[in-house]
Amino acid sequence: MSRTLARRKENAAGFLFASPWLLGIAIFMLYPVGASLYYSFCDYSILKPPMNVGLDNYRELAADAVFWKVSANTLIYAVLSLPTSMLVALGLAMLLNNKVRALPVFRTIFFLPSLVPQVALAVLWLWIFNSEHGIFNTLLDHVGISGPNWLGDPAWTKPCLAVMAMWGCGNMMVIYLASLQDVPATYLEAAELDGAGAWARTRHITLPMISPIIFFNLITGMIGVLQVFTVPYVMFPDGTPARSSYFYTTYLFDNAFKFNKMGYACAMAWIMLISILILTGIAAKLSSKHVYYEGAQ
Amino acid sequence: MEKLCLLQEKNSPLDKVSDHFWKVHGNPNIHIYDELARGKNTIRMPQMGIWPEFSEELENTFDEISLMDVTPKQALRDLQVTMQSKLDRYNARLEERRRLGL
Repeated sequence: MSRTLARRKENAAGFLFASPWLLGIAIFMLYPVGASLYYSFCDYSILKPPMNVGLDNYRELAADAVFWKVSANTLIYAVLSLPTSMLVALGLAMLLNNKVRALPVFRTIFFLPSLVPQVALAVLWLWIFNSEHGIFNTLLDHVGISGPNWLGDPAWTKPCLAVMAMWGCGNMMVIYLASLQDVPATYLEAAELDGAGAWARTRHITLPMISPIIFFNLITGMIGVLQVFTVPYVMFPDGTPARSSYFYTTYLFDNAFKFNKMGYACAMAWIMLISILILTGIAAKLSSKHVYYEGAQ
Repeated sequence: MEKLCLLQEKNSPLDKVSDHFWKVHGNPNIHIYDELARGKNTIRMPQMGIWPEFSEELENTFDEISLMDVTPKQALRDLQVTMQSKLDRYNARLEERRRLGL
Protein backbone atom coordinates (compact mmCIF):
# COMPACT_ATOMS: atom_id res chain seq x y z
CA MET A 1 0.00 0.00 0.00
CA SER A 2 2.74 2.42 1.04
CA ARG A 3 4.73 1.40 -2.04
CA THR A 4 1.75 2.34 -4.31
CA LEU A 5 1.42 5.65 -2.52
CA ALA A 6 5.11 6.36 -2.94
CA ARG A 7 4.89 5.53 -6.65
CA ARG A 8 1.89 7.85 -7.07
CA LYS A 9 3.77 10.63 -5.34
CA GLU A 10 6.75 9.98 -7.56
CA ASN A 11 4.55 10.09 -10.67
CA ALA A 12 2.91 13.32 -9.52
CA ALA A 13 6.32 14.88 -8.94
CA GLY A 14 7.41 13.70 -12.38
CA PHE A 15 4.35 15.28 -14.03
CA LEU A 16 4.89 18.46 -12.01
CA PHE A 17 8.46 18.76 -13.24
CA ALA A 18 7.40 17.99 -16.80
CA SER A 19 4.39 20.35 -16.63
CA PRO A 20 6.12 23.42 -18.19
CA TRP A 21 6.95 21.33 -21.25
CA LEU A 22 3.51 19.63 -21.27
CA LEU A 23 1.76 23.00 -21.02
CA GLY A 24 4.03 24.46 -23.69
CA ILE A 25 3.33 21.66 -26.15
CA ALA A 26 -0.42 21.83 -25.41
CA ILE A 27 -0.66 25.61 -25.86
CA PHE A 28 1.86 26.21 -28.62
CA MET A 29 1.64 22.94 -30.55
CA LEU A 30 -1.48 20.81 -29.99
CA TYR A 31 -3.98 23.69 -29.91
CA PRO A 32 -2.65 25.45 -33.07
CA VAL A 33 -2.47 22.11 -34.93
CA GLY A 34 -6.03 21.20 -33.91
CA ALA A 35 -7.32 24.71 -34.64
CA SER A 36 -5.71 24.77 -38.09
CA LEU A 37 -7.35 21.43 -38.93
CA TYR A 38 -10.74 22.82 -37.86
CA TYR A 39 -10.24 26.12 -39.74
CA SER A 40 -9.26 24.24 -42.90
CA PHE A 41 -12.95 23.27 -43.14
CA CYS A 42 -14.11 26.85 -42.51
CA ASP A 43 -14.41 30.20 -44.18
CA TYR A 44 -12.38 32.26 -41.72
CA SER A 45 -10.93 35.74 -42.06
CA ILE A 46 -9.75 36.21 -38.43
CA LEU A 47 -11.96 39.32 -38.10
CA LYS A 48 -15.23 37.37 -38.29
CA PRO A 49 -16.22 34.06 -36.65
CA PRO A 50 -15.41 30.93 -38.68
CA MET A 51 -18.17 29.50 -40.88
CA ASN A 52 -18.13 25.79 -41.68
CA VAL A 53 -17.88 25.13 -45.43
CA GLY A 54 -17.08 21.41 -45.34
CA LEU A 55 -14.56 20.37 -47.98
CA ASP A 56 -15.02 23.53 -50.09
CA ASN A 57 -11.51 24.86 -49.37
CA TYR A 58 -9.96 21.59 -50.56
CA ARG A 59 -12.21 21.50 -53.65
CA GLU A 60 -11.31 25.11 -54.42
CA LEU A 61 -7.62 24.28 -54.07
CA ALA A 62 -7.92 21.41 -56.53
CA ALA A 63 -9.34 23.85 -59.12
CA ASP A 64 -6.96 26.72 -58.27
CA ALA A 65 -4.43 27.26 -61.09
CA VAL A 66 -2.16 29.31 -58.79
CA PHE A 67 -2.04 26.43 -56.29
CA TRP A 68 -0.77 24.06 -59.00
CA LYS A 69 1.64 26.69 -60.28
CA VAL A 70 3.21 27.28 -56.83
CA SER A 71 3.35 23.51 -56.17
CA ALA A 72 5.20 22.96 -59.47
CA ASN A 73 7.56 25.89 -58.72
CA THR A 74 8.35 24.44 -55.29
CA LEU A 75 9.03 20.96 -56.69
CA ILE A 76 11.27 22.34 -59.47
CA TYR A 77 13.17 24.43 -56.94
CA ALA A 78 13.55 21.38 -54.65
CA VAL A 79 14.90 19.26 -57.54
CA LEU A 80 17.36 22.01 -58.52
CA SER A 81 18.44 23.03 -55.06
CA LEU A 82 18.57 19.93 -52.85
CA PRO A 83 20.93 17.64 -54.83
CA THR A 84 23.32 20.51 -55.68
CA SER A 85 23.44 21.72 -52.06
CA MET A 86 24.02 18.18 -50.80
CA LEU A 87 26.80 17.52 -53.33
CA VAL A 88 28.54 20.84 -52.67
CA ALA A 89 28.31 20.34 -48.89
CA LEU A 90 29.70 16.79 -49.18
CA GLY A 91 32.50 17.91 -51.52
CA LEU A 92 33.51 20.74 -49.19
CA ALA A 93 33.39 18.43 -46.15
CA MET A 94 35.66 15.91 -47.94
CA LEU A 95 38.12 18.67 -48.80
CA LEU A 96 38.05 20.00 -45.25
CA ASN A 97 38.59 16.48 -43.88
CA ASN A 98 42.13 16.50 -45.28
CA LYS A 99 45.04 17.50 -43.11
CA VAL A 100 46.16 20.81 -44.55
CA ARG A 101 47.57 23.98 -43.01
CA ALA A 102 45.16 26.54 -41.51
CA LEU A 103 42.29 24.01 -41.60
CA PRO A 104 40.19 25.75 -38.88
CA VAL A 105 40.38 28.97 -40.91
CA PHE A 106 39.04 27.24 -44.04
CA ARG A 107 36.30 25.52 -42.03
CA THR A 108 35.23 28.87 -40.58
CA ILE A 109 35.28 30.57 -44.00
CA PHE A 110 33.05 27.91 -45.57
CA PHE A 111 30.67 27.84 -42.59
CA LEU A 112 30.29 31.61 -42.23
CA PRO A 113 27.78 32.17 -45.12
CA SER A 114 25.23 29.93 -43.39
CA LEU A 115 25.24 32.35 -40.43
CA VAL A 116 24.21 35.35 -42.56
CA PRO A 117 20.57 36.36 -41.84
CA GLN A 118 18.21 35.40 -44.67
CA VAL A 119 17.01 38.95 -45.41
CA ALA A 120 20.58 40.30 -45.61
CA LEU A 121 21.46 37.35 -47.85
CA ALA A 122 18.53 38.15 -50.16
CA VAL A 123 19.53 41.83 -50.45
CA LEU A 124 23.16 40.87 -51.11
CA TRP A 125 22.19 38.48 -53.92
CA LEU A 126 19.83 41.08 -55.39
CA TRP A 127 22.95 43.17 -56.00
CA ILE A 128 24.98 40.24 -57.27
CA PHE A 129 22.29 39.19 -59.76
CA ASN A 130 21.42 42.74 -60.88
CA SER A 131 21.34 42.53 -64.68
CA GLU A 132 22.96 45.94 -65.26
CA HIS A 133 25.37 46.53 -62.37
CA GLY A 134 25.63 43.09 -60.71
CA ILE A 135 28.94 41.26 -60.22
CA PHE A 136 27.82 38.24 -62.26
CA ASN A 137 26.99 40.15 -65.40
CA THR A 138 30.02 42.47 -65.02
CA LEU A 139 32.30 39.41 -64.93
CA LEU A 140 30.48 37.87 -67.90
CA ASP A 141 30.84 41.16 -69.79
CA HIS A 142 34.63 40.97 -69.30
CA VAL A 143 34.73 37.62 -71.14
CA GLY A 144 32.42 38.87 -73.87
CA ILE A 145 29.20 37.21 -72.72
CA SER A 146 26.03 39.23 -72.38
CA GLY A 147 24.47 37.92 -69.17
CA PRO A 148 20.73 37.32 -68.93
CA ASN A 149 18.27 39.27 -66.84
CA TRP A 150 18.65 36.92 -63.86
CA LEU A 151 15.86 38.38 -61.76
CA GLY A 152 13.51 39.48 -64.54
CA ASP A 153 13.48 36.38 -66.74
CA PRO A 154 11.11 33.63 -65.51
CA ALA A 155 13.53 30.95 -66.78
CA TRP A 156 16.33 32.14 -64.46
CA THR A 157 14.61 32.94 -61.16
CA LYS A 158 14.58 29.38 -59.77
CA PRO A 159 18.20 28.56 -60.82
CA CYS A 160 19.26 31.84 -59.14
CA LEU A 161 17.59 30.77 -55.90
CA ALA A 162 19.19 27.30 -56.16
CA VAL A 163 22.65 28.92 -56.47
CA MET A 164 21.88 31.01 -53.39
CA ALA A 165 20.83 27.90 -51.47
CA MET A 166 24.21 26.34 -52.29
CA TRP A 167 25.90 29.30 -50.68
CA GLY A 168 24.30 28.49 -47.32
CA CYS A 169 25.15 24.79 -47.18
CA GLY A 170 27.54 25.29 -44.22
CA ASN A 171 25.27 23.48 -41.74
CA MET A 172 25.08 20.40 -43.93
CA MET A 173 28.85 20.58 -44.43
CA VAL A 174 29.55 20.54 -40.68
CA ILE A 175 27.32 17.47 -40.20
CA TYR A 176 29.08 15.68 -43.08
CA LEU A 177 32.47 16.66 -41.66
CA ALA A 178 31.62 15.18 -38.25
CA SER A 179 30.50 11.93 -39.87
CA LEU A 180 33.59 11.75 -42.11
CA GLN A 181 35.80 11.97 -39.05
CA ASP A 182 33.99 8.94 -37.62
CA VAL A 183 34.86 6.70 -40.60
CA PRO A 184 37.34 4.15 -39.13
CA ALA A 185 40.83 4.73 -40.51
CA THR A 186 41.53 0.97 -40.29
CA TYR A 187 39.01 0.25 -43.09
CA LEU A 188 40.55 2.88 -45.33
CA GLU A 189 44.10 1.67 -44.61
CA ALA A 190 43.12 -1.95 -45.28
CA ALA A 191 41.54 -0.97 -48.60
CA GLU A 192 44.61 1.06 -49.52
CA LEU A 193 46.85 -1.94 -48.77
CA ASP A 194 44.62 -4.04 -51.03
CA GLY A 195 45.27 -1.53 -53.82
CA ALA A 196 42.05 0.49 -53.74
CA GLY A 197 42.40 3.98 -55.20
CA ALA A 198 40.96 7.20 -53.76
CA TRP A 199 37.68 6.92 -55.71
CA ALA A 200 37.22 3.23 -54.80
CA ARG A 201 37.82 4.01 -51.11
CA THR A 202 35.30 6.86 -51.25
CA ARG A 203 32.68 4.83 -53.10
CA HIS A 204 32.96 1.54 -51.21
CA ILE A 205 33.96 2.67 -47.70
CA THR A 206 33.41 6.37 -46.99
CA LEU A 207 30.00 6.83 -48.65
CA PRO A 208 28.42 3.64 -47.17
CA MET A 209 29.79 4.56 -43.72
CA ILE A 210 28.28 8.05 -43.82
CA SER A 211 25.05 6.96 -45.58
CA PRO A 212 22.85 7.51 -42.46
CA ILE A 213 24.10 11.12 -42.37
CA ILE A 214 23.45 11.57 -46.09
CA PHE A 215 19.93 10.26 -45.48
CA PHE A 216 19.47 12.62 -42.51
CA ASN A 217 20.61 15.60 -44.60
CA LEU A 218 18.30 14.49 -47.43
CA ILE A 219 15.24 14.42 -45.16
CA THR A 220 15.96 17.67 -43.31
CA GLY A 221 17.02 19.36 -46.56
CA MET A 222 13.87 18.18 -48.35
CA ILE A 223 11.65 19.58 -45.59
CA GLY A 224 13.63 22.84 -45.72
CA VAL A 225 13.46 23.37 -49.49
CA LEU A 226 9.75 22.54 -49.64
CA GLN A 227 9.16 25.29 -47.08
CA VAL A 228 11.36 27.91 -48.77
CA PHE A 229 9.97 31.35 -47.90
CA THR A 230 12.13 34.26 -46.71
CA VAL A 231 14.57 34.70 -49.59
CA PRO A 232 12.02 34.55 -52.47
CA TYR A 233 9.60 36.69 -50.45
CA VAL A 234 12.24 39.43 -50.12
CA MET A 235 13.79 39.08 -53.58
CA PHE A 236 10.66 38.57 -55.67
CA PRO A 237 7.62 40.42 -54.27
CA ASP A 238 4.39 38.67 -55.34
CA GLY A 239 6.40 35.93 -57.07
CA THR A 240 7.38 38.13 -60.00
CA PRO A 241 8.05 37.77 -62.89
CA ALA A 242 4.83 36.03 -63.94
CA ARG A 243 4.71 33.96 -60.72
CA SER A 244 7.89 32.11 -61.69
CA SER A 245 9.24 32.55 -58.16
CA TYR A 246 5.94 32.15 -56.34
CA PHE A 247 6.37 29.26 -53.91
CA TYR A 248 3.98 27.18 -51.85
CA THR A 249 4.64 28.85 -48.49
CA THR A 250 4.58 32.33 -50.07
CA TYR A 251 1.12 31.66 -51.52
CA LEU A 252 0.04 30.18 -48.19
CA PHE A 253 1.27 33.30 -46.36
CA ASP A 254 -0.48 35.60 -48.87
CA ASN A 255 -3.74 33.71 -48.47
CA ALA A 256 -3.54 33.91 -44.68
CA PHE A 257 -2.33 37.48 -44.15
CA LYS A 258 -2.91 39.35 -47.41
CA PHE A 259 -6.18 37.93 -48.72
CA ASN A 260 -7.48 37.16 -45.19
CA LYS A 261 -8.42 33.61 -46.28
CA MET A 262 -7.17 31.85 -43.16
CA GLY A 263 -9.30 28.73 -43.75
CA TYR A 264 -7.91 28.34 -47.26
CA ALA A 265 -4.34 28.82 -45.94
CA CYS A 266 -4.94 26.17 -43.24
CA ALA A 267 -6.10 23.72 -45.91
CA MET A 268 -2.89 24.45 -47.84
CA ALA A 269 -0.83 23.88 -44.68
CA TRP A 270 -2.44 20.48 -44.13
CA ILE A 271 -1.85 19.45 -47.73
CA MET A 272 1.80 20.45 -47.32
CA LEU A 273 2.13 18.46 -44.08
CA ILE A 274 0.61 15.35 -45.67
CA SER A 275 2.78 15.75 -48.81
CA ILE A 276 5.96 16.03 -46.69
CA LEU A 277 4.93 12.98 -44.65
CA ILE A 278 4.37 10.97 -47.85
CA LEU A 279 7.67 12.11 -49.40
CA THR A 280 9.57 11.33 -46.17
CA GLY A 281 7.91 7.90 -46.05
CA ILE A 282 8.90 7.20 -49.66
CA ALA A 283 12.48 8.34 -48.98
CA ALA A 284 12.68 6.15 -45.87
CA LYS A 285 11.33 3.15 -47.80
CA LEU A 286 13.72 3.64 -50.72
CA SER A 287 16.67 4.25 -48.40
CA SER A 288 16.34 0.96 -46.51
CA LYS A 289 18.47 -0.78 -49.16
CA HIS A 290 21.04 1.99 -49.46
CA VAL A 291 21.61 3.22 -45.91
CA TYR A 292 24.06 1.24 -43.78
CA TYR A 293 23.66 1.31 -39.99
CA GLU A 294 26.72 -0.14 -38.32
CA GLY A 295 24.92 -1.47 -35.23
CA ALA A 296 21.93 -2.89 -37.16
CA GLN A 297 21.53 -6.56 -37.99
CA MET B 1 -1.14 64.04 -40.98
CA GLU B 2 -1.14 67.55 -42.44
CA LYS B 3 2.20 68.35 -40.79
CA LEU B 4 3.70 65.06 -41.95
CA CYS B 5 2.68 65.71 -45.57
CA LEU B 6 3.99 69.26 -45.27
CA LEU B 7 7.38 68.09 -44.01
CA GLN B 8 7.57 65.39 -46.71
CA GLU B 9 6.46 67.96 -49.30
CA LYS B 10 3.69 65.81 -50.70
CA ASN B 11 -0.06 65.96 -51.18
CA SER B 12 -2.35 65.37 -48.19
CA PRO B 13 -4.88 62.50 -48.26
CA LEU B 14 -7.15 64.59 -45.97
CA ASP B 15 -10.30 66.12 -47.43
CA LYS B 16 -9.63 69.52 -45.84
CA VAL B 17 -6.33 71.14 -44.91
CA SER B 18 -5.54 74.56 -43.43
CA ASP B 19 -4.54 77.59 -45.49
CA HIS B 20 -1.16 77.37 -43.82
CA PHE B 21 -0.58 74.05 -45.69
CA TRP B 22 -0.94 75.73 -49.09
CA LYS B 23 1.03 78.83 -48.10
CA VAL B 24 4.20 77.18 -46.78
CA HIS B 25 4.22 73.97 -48.85
CA GLY B 26 7.65 73.26 -50.39
CA ASN B 27 6.15 72.28 -53.75
CA PRO B 28 4.83 75.39 -55.56
CA ASN B 29 2.65 73.14 -57.80
CA ILE B 30 1.00 71.22 -54.98
CA HIS B 31 -2.45 72.49 -56.10
CA ILE B 32 -2.17 70.40 -59.27
CA TYR B 33 -1.85 67.21 -57.22
CA ASP B 34 -4.88 68.17 -55.17
CA GLU B 35 -6.90 68.90 -58.33
CA LEU B 36 -5.86 65.56 -59.83
CA ALA B 37 -6.92 63.71 -56.67
CA ARG B 38 -10.33 65.41 -56.79
CA GLY B 39 -10.74 65.00 -60.57
CA LYS B 40 -13.75 63.21 -62.05
CA ASN B 41 -11.52 60.61 -63.71
CA THR B 42 -9.79 59.63 -60.48
CA ILE B 43 -10.39 55.99 -59.61
CA ARG B 44 -10.08 54.71 -56.05
CA MET B 45 -9.25 51.16 -55.10
CA PRO B 46 -12.48 49.30 -54.32
CA GLN B 47 -13.17 48.77 -50.62
CA MET B 48 -13.85 45.04 -50.82
CA GLY B 49 -12.28 42.01 -49.21
CA ILE B 50 -11.33 40.32 -52.46
CA TRP B 51 -9.46 43.36 -53.85
CA PRO B 52 -5.91 42.31 -52.73
CA GLU B 53 -6.37 39.02 -54.60
CA PHE B 54 -7.73 40.83 -57.64
CA SER B 55 -4.82 43.28 -57.54
CA GLU B 56 -2.26 40.45 -57.45
CA GLU B 57 -4.02 38.68 -60.33
CA LEU B 58 -3.88 41.94 -62.30
CA GLU B 59 -0.15 42.30 -61.64
CA ASN B 60 0.42 38.78 -62.91
CA THR B 61 -1.64 39.54 -66.01
CA PHE B 62 0.49 42.62 -66.74
CA ASP B 63 3.62 40.49 -66.26
CA GLU B 64 2.37 37.90 -68.74
CA ILE B 65 1.54 40.60 -71.27
CA SER B 66 4.90 42.37 -70.89
CA LEU B 67 6.74 39.05 -71.25
CA MET B 68 4.63 38.40 -74.36
CA ASP B 69 3.51 35.02 -73.04
CA VAL B 70 -0.07 35.82 -74.09
CA THR B 71 -1.82 38.50 -76.07
CA PRO B 72 -3.48 41.29 -74.04
CA LYS B 73 -6.89 40.13 -75.27
CA GLN B 74 -6.29 36.53 -74.14
CA ALA B 75 -4.76 37.66 -70.83
CA LEU B 76 -7.74 39.84 -70.00
CA ARG B 77 -10.15 37.08 -71.00
CA ASP B 78 -8.32 34.65 -68.66
CA LEU B 79 -8.35 37.25 -65.89
CA GLN B 80 -12.08 37.77 -66.34
CA VAL B 81 -12.77 34.02 -66.07
CA THR B 82 -10.50 33.54 -63.03
CA MET B 83 -11.68 36.55 -61.09
CA GLN B 84 -15.36 36.14 -61.93
CA SER B 85 -15.42 32.65 -60.38
CA LYS B 86 -13.52 33.94 -57.33
CA LEU B 87 -15.87 36.90 -56.98
CA ASP B 88 -18.93 34.62 -57.29
CA ARG B 89 -17.56 32.34 -54.58
CA TYR B 90 -16.70 35.33 -52.38
CA ASN B 91 -20.21 36.78 -52.78
CA ALA B 92 -21.83 33.40 -52.13
CA ARG B 93 -19.93 33.07 -48.86
CA LEU B 94 -20.85 36.62 -47.85
CA GLU B 95 -24.48 35.79 -48.56
CA GLU B 96 -24.23 32.56 -46.54
CA ARG B 97 -22.70 34.49 -43.63
CA ARG B 98 -25.54 37.03 -43.81
CA ARG B 99 -28.08 34.20 -43.82
CA LEU B 100 -26.50 32.56 -40.76
CA GLY B 101 -26.12 35.89 -38.99
CA LEU B 102 -22.31 35.52 -38.66
